[in-house]
Amino acid sequence: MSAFLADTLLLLDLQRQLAWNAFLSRSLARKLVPLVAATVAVVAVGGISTAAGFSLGRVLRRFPELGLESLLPGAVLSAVALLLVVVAFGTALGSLFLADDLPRLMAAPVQRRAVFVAKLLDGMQWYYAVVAVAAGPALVAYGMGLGYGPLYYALGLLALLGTPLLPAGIAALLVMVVVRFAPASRVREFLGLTAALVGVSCSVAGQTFRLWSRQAAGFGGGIPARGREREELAAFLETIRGVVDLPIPSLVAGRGLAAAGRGDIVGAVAGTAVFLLLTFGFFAVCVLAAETLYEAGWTRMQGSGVARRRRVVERAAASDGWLANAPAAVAVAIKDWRVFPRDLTSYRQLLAPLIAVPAVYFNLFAAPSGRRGNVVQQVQRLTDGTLDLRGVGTAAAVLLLCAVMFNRVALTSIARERGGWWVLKSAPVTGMEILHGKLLVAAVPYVGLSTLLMAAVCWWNGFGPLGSLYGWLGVEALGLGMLALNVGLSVPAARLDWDDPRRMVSGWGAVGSMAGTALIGLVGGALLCLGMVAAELFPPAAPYAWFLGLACAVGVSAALGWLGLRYGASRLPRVGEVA
Amino acid sequence: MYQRDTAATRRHAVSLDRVVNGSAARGGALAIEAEGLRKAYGDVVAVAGVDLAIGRGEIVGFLGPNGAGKTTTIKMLTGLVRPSAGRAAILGHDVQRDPVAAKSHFGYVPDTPNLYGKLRGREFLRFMARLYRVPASVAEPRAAELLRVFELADAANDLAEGYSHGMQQKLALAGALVHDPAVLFLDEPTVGLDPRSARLIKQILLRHRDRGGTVFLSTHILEIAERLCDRLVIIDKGRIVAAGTMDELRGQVASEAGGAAGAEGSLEEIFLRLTGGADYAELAAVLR
Repeated sequence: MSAFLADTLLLLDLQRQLAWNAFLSRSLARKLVPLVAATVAVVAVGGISTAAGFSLGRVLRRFPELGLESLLPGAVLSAVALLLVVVAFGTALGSLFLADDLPRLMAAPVQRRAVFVAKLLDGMQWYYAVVAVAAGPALVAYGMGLGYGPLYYALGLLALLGTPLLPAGIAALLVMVVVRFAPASRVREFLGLTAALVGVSCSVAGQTFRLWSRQAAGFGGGIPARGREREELAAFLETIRGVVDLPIPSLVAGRGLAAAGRGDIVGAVAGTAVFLLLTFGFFAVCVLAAETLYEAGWTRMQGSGVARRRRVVERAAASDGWLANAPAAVAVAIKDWRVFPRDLTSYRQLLAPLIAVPAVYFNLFAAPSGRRGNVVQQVQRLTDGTLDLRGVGTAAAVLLLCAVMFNRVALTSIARERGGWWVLKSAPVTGMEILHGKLLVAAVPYVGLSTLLMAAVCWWNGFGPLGSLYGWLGVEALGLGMLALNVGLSVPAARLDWDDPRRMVSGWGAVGSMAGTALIGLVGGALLCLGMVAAELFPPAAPYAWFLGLACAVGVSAALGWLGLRYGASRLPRVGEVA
Repeated sequence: MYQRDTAATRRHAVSLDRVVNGSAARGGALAIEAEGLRKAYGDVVAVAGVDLAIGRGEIVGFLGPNGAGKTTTIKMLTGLVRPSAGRAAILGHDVQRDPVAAKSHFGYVPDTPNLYGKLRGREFLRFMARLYRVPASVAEPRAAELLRVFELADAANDLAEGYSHGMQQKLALAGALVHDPAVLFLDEPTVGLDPRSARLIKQILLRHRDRGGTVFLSTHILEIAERLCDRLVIIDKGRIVAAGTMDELRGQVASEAGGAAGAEGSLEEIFLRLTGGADYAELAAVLR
């Protein structure tokens, strides 16, 4: 036992030293940025948590007959525990199966149980940080709102200390089970994609809910009868009480804390003791079960991964057909089109920017019943209806949707090569050929999707063919310029040693991409509207202004895109040179 | 491991004419040529003025201790790293000024064969063939032949991420050979290979040499260098300290050491004498 403890402490100390050295080796900016970001996150999350806890406490203090005092502590601890299961799953997967130092540690004369426990405990400090920031302030403020005594706070501290254990144990056990059926690296890719999907879904759901709320408030379907409303509320409260009474460890802790607040010492101690017993017990069971599975799983992964994977993926490699003799740029594009769909991290890049799209869409076209209306309606109102921006808004929305998706693909063009960059760099192809290939990778699906969307929305809105064609040309001209600029910027912004797809490009590269994209969008967009302005101010010149505006927009977009590509090509020889 | 660029170390540099082989003397363009090739990262000098002149139809072994500058030199010769000074040329084409022409004549296998994990073996070879402008009618049978020779045919339709290190190494070499290059640069080509695969690669390199091709390979396995290479270049602390055939190296060491390493001196002895590794005998005695 003492050898196990000594080994575990040794490994934990090694991990602490590695983390500290990694932090010290960073530049000052890279040291400060995470600290500032962490401070902002702590203040924001802690503030929201405090406000929510205190407000609910004050409300329940006014309505003691509701009997929902245990609701918030139980709900907060359950929510944090659920969040930690997801976080801990990813952490456990990485540290127990994908860490670079595992072969060395597993071969070292230390107990494998110590390796497992040390790796498992490696992420615990972050789980406690999440608990301290997200749940701690809510519980304290809740107690203050309800005027609870010191027993509540003392037992609350114990509840917070016990909360991360169960999620960590469950996550470790889940990892062991999942890794038996799928390669760990594939599971990590899938996890990343799932996280992106959940993020986009939450964003879309939130925005949709806002729209429904506005519509419901505006159109007002009639207020339900008072008696019926009360019945529904009573039934709702009964359902909540039923949930709060479930024998889930975090809800048991919540009931114990509420009892402490009421001064019910027996109930408080009993609730907290049961919670600690359950959480420590489950943690111990999960850890023991996971540990049993770990060694077998890890050993199996080392030995049979290749053969197992080969059976799964064996499939004829498709021929390139008539493209087999196409130029090198097309070869680069075909290679990327083959690789892209097979790598789940690619979909994260496409999905992540979509989070912003619903907000833009609803502000441009939706919110019909809001006080001010949407952007298109506002402009129409300002110009007494003479300036109809529906067509411009449609084109802008399509441009935005497609550009946010494929700009990310363009901006990560070089970073996606990662360790395989030497293949392109040592090949007899020019920098421009590489960048043209990369532009094709993003441009072809961009043109396809934007054309499809433009055709659909123009048909849906009944726009005329000439206006639709003009809008489509504008979307293609500006979008392709943006993509070319981003492909060019992908060269100096590339990081080839990324593990996390969010770190594929440097910070200034992302800022440069946003600024360049905005520049093309705003200047090009303004030029495309030249005809509309002329139609208002000097109608005879309108046809010429439409043509001139389109030509200038194409010129500006092409010029900026070409400059971006030239700049990128000039910086290409520097990519991959490390001291 | 890198060395500061000092006047003292510059004295050890080997002049260009000591590594020129027969074909150069016949007036044909050299397969590999480097003049004053130097790479510095800030104050740290990784390669401090390397001169090379390697003709066609020979296998040249590039030896040196860890951190001596082997990989950096190869990366400069292949255009992967820009030299701080000096020039490199392949078959007369300057690697920096005319990179496309220079690169079209060589194949390169790095020390770590990072391939595209999500490409299948056959797809990787097709991709390489198209990068090097090999017509599909030539590339397809050649790729199939290379897959067969490297015993990768059964795994040709698997993703490269599922390959073992040795399989990835062989696929990288197949990729370097798919356009039938005149010059091959190999950085530690036999690391991680089983004896059967290592022998296969040696046979392929000899065949390449016999057909008039040039091979420039770095290795730590002195037995391979001694048996395989026609000529050896030894680099230490960023400078070439010896170059020539085995007999020439023996002669050089013998003259420097007053006959201590005579005609029977092994490459290991020569290497240790030239790179200062002989001093470690004392350390080894302590550890024993």
